[in-house]
Amino acid sequence: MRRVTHVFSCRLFRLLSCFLLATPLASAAQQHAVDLEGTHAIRAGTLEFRDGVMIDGVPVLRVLRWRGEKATLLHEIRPADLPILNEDCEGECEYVKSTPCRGKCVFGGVGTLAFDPTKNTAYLFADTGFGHNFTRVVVALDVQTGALRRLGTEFGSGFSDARTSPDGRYLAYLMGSTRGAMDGSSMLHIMDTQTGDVVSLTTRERRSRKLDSETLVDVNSYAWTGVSTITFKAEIRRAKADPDDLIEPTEHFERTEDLAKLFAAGEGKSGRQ
Amino acid sequence: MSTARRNAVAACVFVIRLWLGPQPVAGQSLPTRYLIEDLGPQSSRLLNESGHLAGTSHPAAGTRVFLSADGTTWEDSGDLACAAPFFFYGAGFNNAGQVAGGFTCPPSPASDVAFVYTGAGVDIRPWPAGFIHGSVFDINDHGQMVGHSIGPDGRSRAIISSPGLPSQFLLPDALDGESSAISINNDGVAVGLIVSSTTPALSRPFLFDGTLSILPFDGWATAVNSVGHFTGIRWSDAGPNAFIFKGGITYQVPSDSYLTESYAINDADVIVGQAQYDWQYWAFRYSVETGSVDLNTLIDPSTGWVLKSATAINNRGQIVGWGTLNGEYRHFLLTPIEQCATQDGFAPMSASASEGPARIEIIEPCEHELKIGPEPSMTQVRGKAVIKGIDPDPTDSASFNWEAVFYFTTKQKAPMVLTPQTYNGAAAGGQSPSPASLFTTPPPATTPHMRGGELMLKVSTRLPDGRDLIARRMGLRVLGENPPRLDIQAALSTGDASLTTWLHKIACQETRQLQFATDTRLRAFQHKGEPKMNEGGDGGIGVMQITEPSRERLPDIRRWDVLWHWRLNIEKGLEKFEEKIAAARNYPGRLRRSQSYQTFLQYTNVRRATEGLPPLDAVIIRDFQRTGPLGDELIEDAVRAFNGYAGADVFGMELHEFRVRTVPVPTGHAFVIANERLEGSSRVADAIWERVPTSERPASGDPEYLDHVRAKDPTCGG
Repeated sequence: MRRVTHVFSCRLFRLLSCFLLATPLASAAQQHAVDLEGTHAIRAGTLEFRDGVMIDGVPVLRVLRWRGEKATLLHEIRPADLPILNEDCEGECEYVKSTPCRGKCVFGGVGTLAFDPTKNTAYLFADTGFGHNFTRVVVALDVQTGALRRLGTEFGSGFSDARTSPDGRYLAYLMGSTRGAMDGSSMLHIMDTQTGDVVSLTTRERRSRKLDSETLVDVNSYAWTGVSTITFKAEIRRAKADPDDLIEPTEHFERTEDLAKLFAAGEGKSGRQ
Repeated sequence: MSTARRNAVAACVFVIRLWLGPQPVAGQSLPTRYLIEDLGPQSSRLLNESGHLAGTSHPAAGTRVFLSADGTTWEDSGDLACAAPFFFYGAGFNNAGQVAGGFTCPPSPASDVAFVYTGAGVDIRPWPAGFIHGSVFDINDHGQMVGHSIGPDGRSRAIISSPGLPSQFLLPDALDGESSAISINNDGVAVGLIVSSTTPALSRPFLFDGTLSILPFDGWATAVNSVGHFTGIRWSDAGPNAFIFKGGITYQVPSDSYLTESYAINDADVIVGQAQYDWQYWAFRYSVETGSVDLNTLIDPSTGWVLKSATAINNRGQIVGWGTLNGEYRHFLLTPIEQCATQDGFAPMSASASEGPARIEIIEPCEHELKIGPEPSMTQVRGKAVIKGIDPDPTDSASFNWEAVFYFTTKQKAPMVLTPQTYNGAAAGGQSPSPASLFTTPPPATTPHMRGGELMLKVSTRLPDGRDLIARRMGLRVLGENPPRLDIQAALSTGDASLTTWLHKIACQETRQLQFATDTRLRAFQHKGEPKMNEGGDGGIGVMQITEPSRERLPDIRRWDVLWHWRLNIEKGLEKFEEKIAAARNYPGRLRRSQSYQTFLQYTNVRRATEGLPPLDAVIIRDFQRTGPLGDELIEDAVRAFNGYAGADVFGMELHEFRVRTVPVPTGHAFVIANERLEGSSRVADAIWERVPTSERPASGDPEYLDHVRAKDPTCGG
């Protein structure tokens, strides 16, 4: 029987390590009020990025390195640490009463988009706007040194599925776009991690097809298919006139883009898209 | 196989204990009666946690996938990519509504295709490089598929395919036999079979959770549940025999002289499958605690059904399978009738299921669905448990520990898993007047938050001999009911009639003034009784489509209340709108105070100098007005902002509904002015506000949001 329980040892270990997470860190920071409830973490190899850790009432992003059952705290990043420019802020904090404003104009805490092992760099974001669609600032964290570098801003209703290109040069992600009428679509954006310039592949598609404002390009999935090439699948459909409309896509398509060529041709833009 | 490799594999093989028959530790209550629904002749053998069904057509009817929320209305994918496949199947179905499967296209040489169908389109997944054949058997909620692929050497290898990535081999390359992965759970734990390269070949069930574990008998694993327990089929000279592997023990279904095959397992470790004796088939259900039962004994015998095979079971206890209805081949859906509803008129449970050792059963609540009423308040759940199998009945003197956990995962394209909300309770034995077996969650007045979705009830007790009995009741649903629209409109009313009309129109534009979906539409990620949510996966929630919770990485337990509490949702919506009015009110002042203002004034004067005009001391940017030249400027700008300020203005600030008119000059922008005049000794002029044309807005959000809202009926038809 003893050997049998070993069958699930890996699983057990994972659960155990999650459980043990709080212990050394909580005691190390026991003079502060630390609250891990409601936190969210992503893992990348031995690294863990846990956001929303409340320390003295401020949401903090913690970067940890796990070795066996022990975690070492590498960095704690507070909203006020982010190198944000005035132009990154959508309005000023004074207008916003419903959400605490932290740092220059950050609402909420600092989140993790993706980790690039080739450059040992994590891409972080923070909300600098408020509404259905709003602005976010994107920042690169050098995990080795803890240095933070502002890359640029994005605009939309949600960030998801962020992944770096094989060489780490480009960061791809889906931006949600809410039209209000319970109608949303996913836009595929690429950020050049060297310059912070952004190209929207869905906007390119809209332009090349000369679509009107009531026709959406909605991305379903994407994959890196080369060092600088990306392939995505999307559909074309009309926007909803009513929340309960059922709109059938008029077309499904797949497109491959060479990002090195796009950025070299000056397609990338800085600032809000 | 080399000796070293053989040893390496052998090291992963653990001696396990085979347990024949029940070995109860924890008690369990399983449905004693089921309602049966006819799903028709098409292959409807897939079931997810929402009770939604999926199936595939017979190749002769075209390559199609069907999805259904209720078993009566089916969404048809239409013909898939391969018009005339000679083999086609849907094999896995997850809680995101994705069906995974494969088909074989006839061009020579024939090739297999793995697909994921989402209701919105078909995603073809590539095989590993050099591989063109294979099969797909399951998909988890993260979209990870498992199966196997066949290489040029004809060797099958288990694969895993994640969204957006090429398929990868699941198991270590050191294995020189063949393998296939048949099921995967949401933790990425996969099970399947490994076939040795020896003669004769040996087939072994395996579990892979980063470490490969192989069971030491002939057979294969067919399904794994969320905690890594799995079921499968063990082969002997007599034929197949179903088993469950959990806690390091293999439990075989006691079968006497008949044969059993299991195809599915739920999180309560209940398996379903097919039994056979002398070429007669029947669908069976088995758990270690309650034993094996012929599902035909748990349905109304007058229906004309003969249940021959059960192919899937979910955590609500629903089962799908196939059989005959009045002699015709059909698929069926079984839905449990709760214990307390079984007291009238139904046949007793079969002996094998009712007999057994000590156990605990949750006999209340009776309802499968609990409601949040039109006036929002937290649902109060009342549970009741009994101890069975012990004489005299110790229920009234025992102590019980209860746990009620509310789970909710949004059903959007990018689902969000919300932190479960747990309520605990304990009651000492002999308590009076309430029996200790009763449990009630806190009354609404003492619960500061609201939760809906799935509810799990768990009760445990310790017997005097030290044995612990545990029972779980899963699959309870807590859903919402919409209030009358007049109540919504009243909650959105302010002292300002014009503003109130705008707010009513916004709520109509956003959700038709509804908090909860009134029907289920899989393609729109909409489920009846659940909060209306934006299908893009960006977190828009409820009447006012509040997006804030998804970005609030704060442990404020109330931040999710906007999902189930329509009054709070409207409260947050009004709060947001007030913020937008404040932002509109402050925008002109921010322009006046900006560095760009000074620069533009300078460029304006340079331009005027070239025209021989005197310089301006100031360009006056007036504030937005309620009754301005462009309309209700303040409120219209706030309505625009409610959808979001997509884009930037020439000042480098967010793009509002209105902008200050400028003209480009070689170095920047200059103001376009009107009403130039002298005020005292200062020469001033007015800046001109203009509405930003739709054509000059970015595609993000809704470039015509204001027009869409303006066109709405404030009563929203009700």
